[in-house]
Amino acid sequence: MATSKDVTSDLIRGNIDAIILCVLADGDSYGYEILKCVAHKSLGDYEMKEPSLYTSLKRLEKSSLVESYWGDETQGARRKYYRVTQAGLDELEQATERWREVRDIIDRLLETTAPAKSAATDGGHHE
Amino acid sequence: MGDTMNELRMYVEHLFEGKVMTAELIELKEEIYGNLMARYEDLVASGIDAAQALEEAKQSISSVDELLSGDGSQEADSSNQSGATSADEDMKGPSAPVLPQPETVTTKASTTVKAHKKLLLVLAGVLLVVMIGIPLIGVAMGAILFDNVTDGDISVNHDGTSLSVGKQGVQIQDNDDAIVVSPDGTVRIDGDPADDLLNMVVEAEPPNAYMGTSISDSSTLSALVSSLPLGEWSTQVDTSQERGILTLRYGSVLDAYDSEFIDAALVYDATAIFACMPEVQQIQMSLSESDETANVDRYDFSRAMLEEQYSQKLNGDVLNYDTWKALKTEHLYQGGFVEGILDAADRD
Repeated sequence: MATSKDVTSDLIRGNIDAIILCVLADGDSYGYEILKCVAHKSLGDYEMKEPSLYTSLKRLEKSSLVESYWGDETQGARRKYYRVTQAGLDELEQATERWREVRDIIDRLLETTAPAKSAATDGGHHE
Repeated sequence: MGDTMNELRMYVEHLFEGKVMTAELIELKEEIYGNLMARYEDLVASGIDAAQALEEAKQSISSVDELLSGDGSQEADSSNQSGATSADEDMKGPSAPVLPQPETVTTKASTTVKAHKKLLLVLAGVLLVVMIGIPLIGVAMGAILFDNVTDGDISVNHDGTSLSVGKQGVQIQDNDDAIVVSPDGTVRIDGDPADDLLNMVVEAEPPNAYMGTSISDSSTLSALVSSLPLGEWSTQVDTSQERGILTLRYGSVLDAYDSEFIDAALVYDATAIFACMPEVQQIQMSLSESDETANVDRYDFSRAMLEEQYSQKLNGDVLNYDTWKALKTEHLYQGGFVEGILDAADRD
């Protein structure tokens, strides 16, 4: 299976809402900081795109899973902060549970005892 | 830092060019700007050089089209799909795999709107060229350009030059002291390049840090006055007259700048003060040359007069980026606006 960053990103994207809820569960944050947090938490393996972030935040706010408020920076750029609601925390819990179940299912389905083609020609157990 | 703020502001403006701005979009625009600045600052702090950081910040978001559609649950674009959102997909149970959903294409609407807008612009451009061409040919042939027509059937205002086509013909009016800001940020007034003072006015962000300053709060008041264009030359700030009147004196400013630049700054400063200080009803400004008191220009700005000229109340509500910018572009920069106000305010 190809493991290019694009394919990985695609697969992760289905969980983007939960990922953001999780970041906010640790504390209120704003756009760029959320992205940084995600990059850091994924140990550099996943960089969320800024447009995806905005779309997701809009969705989350519409469903009342997060609330936003403006920061009080007095000069230059104001920042829009987000806080997770109780409903958001509940949803996070459910989404995490769903992910774990799904992960287990897929793990099982992708499990195989057949040796990889590049293994030894005796076709037996490969170390 | 001011340059970067300006560049990023312009970039964000560009992202929203041609969009119909709802309250939601205005907030989104502000949010994007805030995040871009945070990203830029972070990059610079990590050692990346300013120009490179600016580029990278811009690259983090190249279009807002995908953010514009309705409810956000069916977005399409190659780099983002909603997939199985936690909010939407709750009842599928443990047997539903969380796999990426097929992409739906919902960009047709925005593409059509864009195409229409482009067509409209092209048509407007053609119209303008034709309209300007006709009277020019008329002049070349010795024909007479029709006299001033104030109500026209068609009227186009482009960058301070206005064109009207009415029953009596075509009229082109080049408004004096109109301030024009071109897309690359260069500022001209009445055709001449702007100087630092005018650039300061154009670049000035709404002074919302001073919103609601009380007339009796002298330190904040001084800070506000100093922060505005012309602030450097402030020599006296007085509120000791009857309540509601602010008296400001500026020294040596007439030496430093030509009057057309000062005029714009005067009106801008008065506007800013009225917006920030609800108790002030009248502002008296006097400007002198060097230290001589002989040559003094005096102006009396009343809140009522300014609010009438701007067709709106000057208070905290105008101190957000978009409304403030609209105040400038739709009024302050228009030919005759500054002149008209100063004529009314002139006390000499």
